[in-house]
Amino acid sequence: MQQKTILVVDDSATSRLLFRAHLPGNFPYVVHEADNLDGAMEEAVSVRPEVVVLDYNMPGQSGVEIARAMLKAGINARFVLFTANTQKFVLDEAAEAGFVAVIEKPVTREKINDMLEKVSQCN
Amino acid sequence: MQLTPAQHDALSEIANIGASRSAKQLSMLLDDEIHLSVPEVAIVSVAELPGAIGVAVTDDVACVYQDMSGCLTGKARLIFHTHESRMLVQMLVGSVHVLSGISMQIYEHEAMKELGNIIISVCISTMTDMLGKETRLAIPMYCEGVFEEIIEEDSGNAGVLVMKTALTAGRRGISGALIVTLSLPDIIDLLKSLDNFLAGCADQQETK
Repeated sequence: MQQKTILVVDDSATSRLLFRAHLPGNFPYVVHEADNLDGAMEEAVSVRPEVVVLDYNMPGQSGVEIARAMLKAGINARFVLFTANTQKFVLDEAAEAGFVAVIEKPVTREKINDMLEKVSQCN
Repeated sequence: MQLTPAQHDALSEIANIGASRSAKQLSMLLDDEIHLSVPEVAIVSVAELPGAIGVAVTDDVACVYQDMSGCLTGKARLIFHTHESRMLVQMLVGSVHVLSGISMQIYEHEAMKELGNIIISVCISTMTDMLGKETRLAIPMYCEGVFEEIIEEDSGNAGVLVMKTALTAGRRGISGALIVTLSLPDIIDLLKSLDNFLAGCADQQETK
């Protein structure tokens, strides 16, 4: 059976490293990474991720804008916001775009487990 | 002193988290949306500082500063052009009636100290928490003046850690810089901590 995939989109290599470092045991996804819109679109088309984790504050486009571009391109994934900027307008914008969960930075194993729980409730 | 690409990326991410958390606090305080640019980070000499934060040495600036002790010993300063600090204060104070007997200037300075304390505390605590260190901050102080006079006392120091971000609140764009003046041993220590932090993350990842 093909393993499920998760795509982490963040311009910071450190942030992506931190995400991987805090993965719980038996994490049910293969992790792919991208650091910008083009890379994210390319990866998403190639691996068809079940979950896309997006940083909010990135150069060029915000994570929510990238999610909208993916939806428009037919990427049918669960979107998760990955940010320390949990202002109401950011969360509202994400909810409106269909995001199903938020991981507040800095990431911890518990936060990733909470995200998995929320994503599984959407399936 | 040059940052390696990995150190630069790690500091940028820490600054991004610190600035984002500050923005959340400010948005609650100002009851407005705060939009942030991605922070720019660098370690520069005092002489390079004006270019790094986009001010001229003769510019009038407003500065909230806090002395630091612990793993980072030095001074953290939040710097705005004076007219931008007035905009920030106006956003905080709005049309609130100031009690008689309190001068508007004192009120503005108190407001800036409060805003500066939030931004400095959140950014410094984010940085030291993530690196597993402790830094104590003294009470915030406020001053206004020409940039070169404000940083004059730092001229003997080895380097300045700069975190520069632009924030937009409502329709008003305000650009500020958090600068942390450190001695050479503290800079070396900070860079070692960053390397250890990255190595720790890499080890954690490999053991999975």
